[in-house]
Formats: sequence, structure tokens, C-alpha cells
Amino acid sequence: MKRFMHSTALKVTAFILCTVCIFSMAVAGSNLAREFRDNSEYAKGAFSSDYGLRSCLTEPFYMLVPWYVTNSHIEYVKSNFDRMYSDKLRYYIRIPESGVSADTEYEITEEFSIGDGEIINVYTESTDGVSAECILTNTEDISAESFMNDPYCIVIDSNNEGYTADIADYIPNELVETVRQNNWVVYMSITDEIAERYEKEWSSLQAYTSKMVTIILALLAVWILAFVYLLFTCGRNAKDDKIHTLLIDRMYPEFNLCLGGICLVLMICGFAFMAELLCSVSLIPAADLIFALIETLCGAAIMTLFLSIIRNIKNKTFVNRSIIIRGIKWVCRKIKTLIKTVCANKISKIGALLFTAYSLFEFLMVAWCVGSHGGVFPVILGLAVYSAIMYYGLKYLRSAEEIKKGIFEIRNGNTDYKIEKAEGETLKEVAEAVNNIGDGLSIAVSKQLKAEQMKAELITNVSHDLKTPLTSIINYSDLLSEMELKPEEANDYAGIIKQKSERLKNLTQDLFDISKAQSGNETVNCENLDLSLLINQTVGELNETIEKSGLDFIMNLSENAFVWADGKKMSRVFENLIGNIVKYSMKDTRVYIQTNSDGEAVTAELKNISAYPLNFDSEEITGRFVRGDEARSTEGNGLGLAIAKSYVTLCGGEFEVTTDGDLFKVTIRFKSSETMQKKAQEQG
Amino acid sequence: MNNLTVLVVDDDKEIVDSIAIFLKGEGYNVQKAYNGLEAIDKVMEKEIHLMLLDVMMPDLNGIDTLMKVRERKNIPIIMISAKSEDNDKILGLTAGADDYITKPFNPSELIARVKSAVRRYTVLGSMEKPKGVIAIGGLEIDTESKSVKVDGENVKLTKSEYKILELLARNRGKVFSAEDIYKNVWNEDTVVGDNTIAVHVRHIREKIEINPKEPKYLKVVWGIGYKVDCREVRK
Repeated sequence: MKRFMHSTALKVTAFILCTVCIFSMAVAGSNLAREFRDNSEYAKGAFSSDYGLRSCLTEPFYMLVPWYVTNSHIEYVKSNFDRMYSDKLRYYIRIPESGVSADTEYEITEEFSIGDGEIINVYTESTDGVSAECILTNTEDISAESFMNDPYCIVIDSNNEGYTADIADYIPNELVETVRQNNWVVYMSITDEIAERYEKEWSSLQAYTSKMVTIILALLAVWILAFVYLLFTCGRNAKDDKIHTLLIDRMYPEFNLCLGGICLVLMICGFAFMAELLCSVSLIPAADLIFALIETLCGAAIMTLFLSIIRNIKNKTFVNRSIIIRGIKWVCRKIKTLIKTVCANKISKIGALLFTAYSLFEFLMVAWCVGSHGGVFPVILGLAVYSAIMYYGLKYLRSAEEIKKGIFEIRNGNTDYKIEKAEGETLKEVAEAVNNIGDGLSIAVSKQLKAEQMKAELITNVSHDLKTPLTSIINYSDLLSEMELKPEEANDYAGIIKQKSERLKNLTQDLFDISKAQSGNETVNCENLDLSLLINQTVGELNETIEKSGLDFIMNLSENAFVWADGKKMSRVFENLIGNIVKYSMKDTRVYIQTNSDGEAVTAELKNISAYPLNFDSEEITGRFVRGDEARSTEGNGLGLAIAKSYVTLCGGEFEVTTDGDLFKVTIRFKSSETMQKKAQEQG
Repeated sequence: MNNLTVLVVDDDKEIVDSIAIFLKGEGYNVQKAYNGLEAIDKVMEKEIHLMLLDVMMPDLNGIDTLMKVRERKNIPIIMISAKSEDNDKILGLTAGADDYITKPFNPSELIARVKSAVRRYTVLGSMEKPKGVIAIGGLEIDTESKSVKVDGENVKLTKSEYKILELLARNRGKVFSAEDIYKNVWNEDTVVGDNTIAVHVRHIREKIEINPKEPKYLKVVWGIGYKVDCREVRK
């Protein structure tokens, strides 16, 4: 069933049917019009050339509807009174002298004949002696009622237009002047014979018209059916459900509509042409055919175009194909990109606002100045200039934004970042310069890294090179001191060498340690330590030395002195400090070591009385190779405090030396483990 | 011990000679090599019972020499190096050395380490461990007789010292704080500020360690406590 419905043959048939319908309708229409023109005196008037084109088109329709619909032959007859001047009509003239009452009696008072042999009866109404009325009529029937009730009766009085002319046609000339002068009312009626004649005319016209109109309506119905069928099935065929478009559908819908419009205009022109021809007297029969052909061709063209549009709509490509819509979409896209670029970054936004404000102002000024001289062109010109300004301005702003981004990247450490999308001469150069800075930074950074590496290697290599000969010195001096040397002094000398080489060994190791710590090559392994315990352990290790020193160590270590530090290094710190104390304290004095923990920080303090006057700056003493003993004669190399301070600082603590008279105090401060953990949690 | 041969490898001739003199003084035979390749040749050719190996040498460095020797021989090897960082020591020991001594060294310490290594190789490696003996490296603790031997030699410890050592040795690798040790050994709570334990530990170390400053067995975990552990990597 579907296959049949959608078959091409059927569609083509439908289309041909539509075309034929149009042709037939046109032919029928022109025939009907011709019939009216030829056979209806009344309609003839409508076709007179005085009416003008519009009337030629519309008048026939105005005529048709009442004629056909209202079924009023009475109107037809009445309206044809104009044509009846050659007929003898009955008239009835009332000559009032005073008021009339209904039941008056009439008397023929006289008869007289006028020009044409027409007999006029004159009746008088006799009243009760109050008023008299004279009636002139060319009939014998004097009943006013019969006149007035006659459906074909018309009244001509001074209110009618054309009173003067009308009168003259229907009543004898002799009376005309009098009637006119006195403004008498004339009642006209027609004889049955005349009525019959006109009724016949009307019926035939009506029959013809109904016939034609029926035909036209039927054709219209067929056309509608066929066309609706085409509307439904266009674009689809029997095989599948897709919409198939023809080549003709590829054209722009606007173009399609324009063509359609042209055809429509042609059709209307055809009507007008036809109407014009009908108005003129000479009308060749071929004119009908030409008219019908024009209408058919135009109709077929319009149908095709319309179907094409429908197919496009079905295929959803109507909007896409429309050139106007495409244009609008393109403009919208551009605007959207513009806005996106503008809003993407701050520089662009500000710049764009400034630009817009200024150029809008300029544009308005120009448009107003130029526009007031008239014409659309200046406005368009202004718009074009504005767009150009915006385009170039934004290009520059975009480049500025790129450069800013590049500088930020390089600042953040991404020295390999390259600015690429900069446009415009000046800005391109700036972008290149920034890229060069980035390169320069990269090189500088890698150089720095290399230098650091080399420094680390240097320390290791130097320390190794020092230690190797030192090993031999120690070994051989050891061997020497084992031997029994002659002379005796040689043994002492050997002993001295051994002793000093030991000292050299310590110095080398210390130097190595301090160099590593201060050059940043030292790694720290921090753990959660009990500082009090650590101090205890160290003191325990150095027990013998401490006992030998004869000093009284007073320990005051608090509990919960937990810090986050490197245990090995801290033990070294306290080893150094206690070593110093043992070395430099005044004999038989007390040494105080205490730790304090107040929840936030842990403090360790070591206090002792110096054997020598403390004439050094407490700041300087922690410097490398700075010795309290200016003569540098005693043991020690000036690195002990320096190493201690470095290690404490590496672990994140504070190291402070204060002196007060002979009191030498070292304060070490760490943030407690709790605080460190809290901090870590906050940051993490 | 008289027919034991030690191979000394170092690129510095004076050092090799001085070490040789020390060793000969203790009764060892000495072979000398001045670079890695020579060392490998000598090890393969002759019967060597111990190798003293320097790390920084030209051509083939000490670590590579060590690994190459280890492919064939299981003799004790002691690394000698000026590189004294922890990382360097760990590297040497993981590569297969039995011990590590840094330059400049105390000659007596060197000798002691040599003796200890040799003893372990010849004497201890073959012995079965009887029940109740805790053996950690060269440290042996006989819990039944309550005696301690290091590398086969008896060590005299006081009662407290023995108790502490046994506690830590039984829990090898576990770190005990001073409080823990106090509680376990004396069943008392310690007094803060009391460094008895530290002193005891120090005494123990002097008795059982070759170099108390660089303990092999009884280690101080600064700020936390003490533990017994041997950094022996291979059996």
C-alpha cells in the first residue's frame, strides 16, 4: 500500500492533475467573466474602462457572490431598471396637496393623452373634504398598496441620485418638468411581461454561473486533494523512509521564495491582463487561452517551488540552506569568538571595553554626522570602520596577553616556555626578547646546577686527597713510635709526629664536615627525638672524659623534650659542646645542662665558667676557625662551634652563644615535634 | 695463623707497604697489589685468606673489583677508603664486603678487624650453634652459661652489662629506650637525668667492639635508645 502511495508515477500523475486543474479553472473563470460581460448589462458597467485595474479585478467578485448566493432575482431585475427605458413601465405619481389618509376614495377625474399617445389617468383622492390628492398613473390600477407591495416597485424621489435623469426616462416629457419642479415622488413598477423577461435572463445567468462556479470549485477541490497528496509524499519514495531531495532543492530558500514571488506576480498580472482585455471591447478568443496558459505555467512553477521548500523543511535543511540564516549564524559565531577572546583574560577585557566605548562613540558621531545627510551607506561605512578597529585592536591585545602569560610562566620556573602566538611588529619583538630571557635563565640555572655539582665533588676530592697522605703519615709515625729508636730523642720526635698527625686528621675531618654542612651538600634525616635522652646518651659516651675533667656536671633535663631532628648530627653537636666545656672550663667549677619544654618549643642550655677571659664577640665565635684562644695554642681548631651551629641550623633549630663575664652559655632552640606536626597538617 | 695470607690492594705504594709491615708484625703473610686487575689475578693465582681493598683506584675501582672477586671467592674482604660517608659504607657492605674501615685509620684497629674477620672465616663459619646461643655476626651469647664470646674470644661482662646485652641481643634490631632497659633489667622506673644506662652501654662497647666509636654490634640510636644489630650482609 505504501509502495503504491509513494510511487513516482502516482506523484507525477498528481502533479499533472494539479496543472490541468489550474488550466481548467483559468478557462472556466475567463468564460464566466466573458459570459457576465456579454450578457449582463449590469455587469457590463463593472467592466467599463473607467473603473481602473483594481476594480476590474474585484468588481466581478463582488457581483458574483450576491448573484449566486442570495438567489435574488428581484435585485437583479431592480438593478436592471436602467436597461428598461425602452420598455413601457408603469408609474404612479403622487401629487400631494396635503396629507393623505389610507382609506380615501379615488375618482378618475380625467384622462388625457400626451405625446406618444400614452394615456395618463388622473385620479383624485377625495377626502372628507379636508385634502385632495392627485394621482397620475399610466395604469388603471390605482391602489397605492398594489404598487408599493409590488416586489419590483422602486421609488424615485428627490433623495435618489440621478433623480433628474431617471425621471426623464420613465415618464412623459410633459410631466417631467412639473415633477422636477415640485419634487414629486414617482413610483415605478414593471409589467409581468417585462418581469418574466428579466427573470428568464436572470435564471439563465444564474444557471450558467452556478454551473461554472461548481465546476471551478470542483476543480479547486481536486487540486487541493492532489496538492495535499503531493505535500505529504514529496521527498519520500517507496523504498525507504529517508527524505530524498532533488537537484532543485539545493538552491537557497530565499532564491526559491523570490522565484515564487515572481511567479505569483505574473499570475496576478495575468488576471489583470485578462481583466483589462475584458474591459476593452475587442477580445480575441485566443486571449482566453493565453490567459489560461500563463496562469497554468505560473501555477505549475509555484507548485514546484513550494514542494521544493517543503522537501527542504522535511529534510531539516531549510534553515541550513537559507543564505540569510547562514549569514546570521556566521556573524553570531564571529561575535561569540570575539566575546570569548575578550572575556578570556583581563587585559583583553579592559582593552576591549575601552576600545568599544571609544569606537562606539566615534562611530555614533560619524553615523550621526553623515547619517543626517541621508542614506544608509555612511552608516555601513562607519560599522565597517568600527569592525576593523575592533579586529586589529583585539589582535594586539591578544598578543599582549600571550606575552604576559609567557613572562609569568618563566617567572614560575618554566624557563623553557616559548611565546608563540604574538602578532604585530612591536609585540613580536617583545615576545622574542622574553623567549630569549627564558633561554638565558635556563642556561644560568643549568650553570648554577653544574657549579653546585662541582663544588660537591671538590669537597669530596680534596678531602680524599688530604686523607691519603695523612694515612701514610699516621701509619709510619705509628711504626716509628713502636720502634726503639736511637738516639732517645728520636722516640720523642716520633711521638710528637704521631700526636700532631692525629690532630691533623681531626682537623681534616672537621673541615670536611663543615664544608659539607655549609655548602648545602649535607643531607638531614630527621626523626622524632627525645632531646633530653640524647643529651644523656652523649654524656654517657663521654663519661670518662667528663670524669677526668673534674668538673661537676649538673643535669636538669625535662621530660617530653621531643624535637624533629637528625640524631647523629645532634649527638655530634653535643659532643662538640661538651668537648669544648671540658677543654675550656675553669677547673673545679660547675657545669649546668638543662632542657625545657613548654609545648611549643624545646630549649637546651649549656652553661659553664670559662677558664679564660671571654674577650670575643659571641657572634663571631661561631665562625669558622675563630678561636677563643687568640694565640691558637691549645687544642682545637676553631671548627667545633661552627660545626655545631651548622648542624643545628640544618635541623631547623636556632643556635645562640651568649657571654656574661666569665659565663659561657649556649642556647639551642627547636620547635617541638607537636608544633611541627601541626604545621605539617596545616600545610598538607 | 702463621700460614694465612692477606692481600693488600691500594694504589698508594707507601700505604700498602706500611700495612704490610703491620700485618707481618702480627704473623701474617702478605701479598701486594696496586690496582684492581692485579688484585683479581693474585686472588685467582694464590691462596688468599683475606683481602684489604681500597675503594678509589684507577682502571678498576674497589667496588667493581670486590664484585668480581665475589663471583669466584668467598674470602673475607675489608674495604679501606677515605670516603667516610654512611652512603659509601653502605655501598661497600651491600656490594659484598665484610667490613669497612676509613682512612686515616688506627693501625691497631685495622689489625683487630683483620683478626676478627679471619677468625670468623676459619673458625666460626664451620661451627654449629648449640641451643641457647644467640649468635649475631661474630658475637655469641650463651644464655645458659651466661657467657659472651666475640669472634671466638671470651669477653668478661658484669652482671648488669650481661643483662643489658642479652636483652638487646634477644630482640635483635629492636630499639630500646633507657627506660625500657631499666624496666626490663632492674624492674624499676628510671629517673630522668640518670645516665647509668649510657655508661653501661659505653662499657659494654669498649669490651666487645673493636672500635667503640664505630660499633659493630651495640649501636646508639641517638635521642631514642639502643639496639643490637650487626650490619652483616652475607652469611
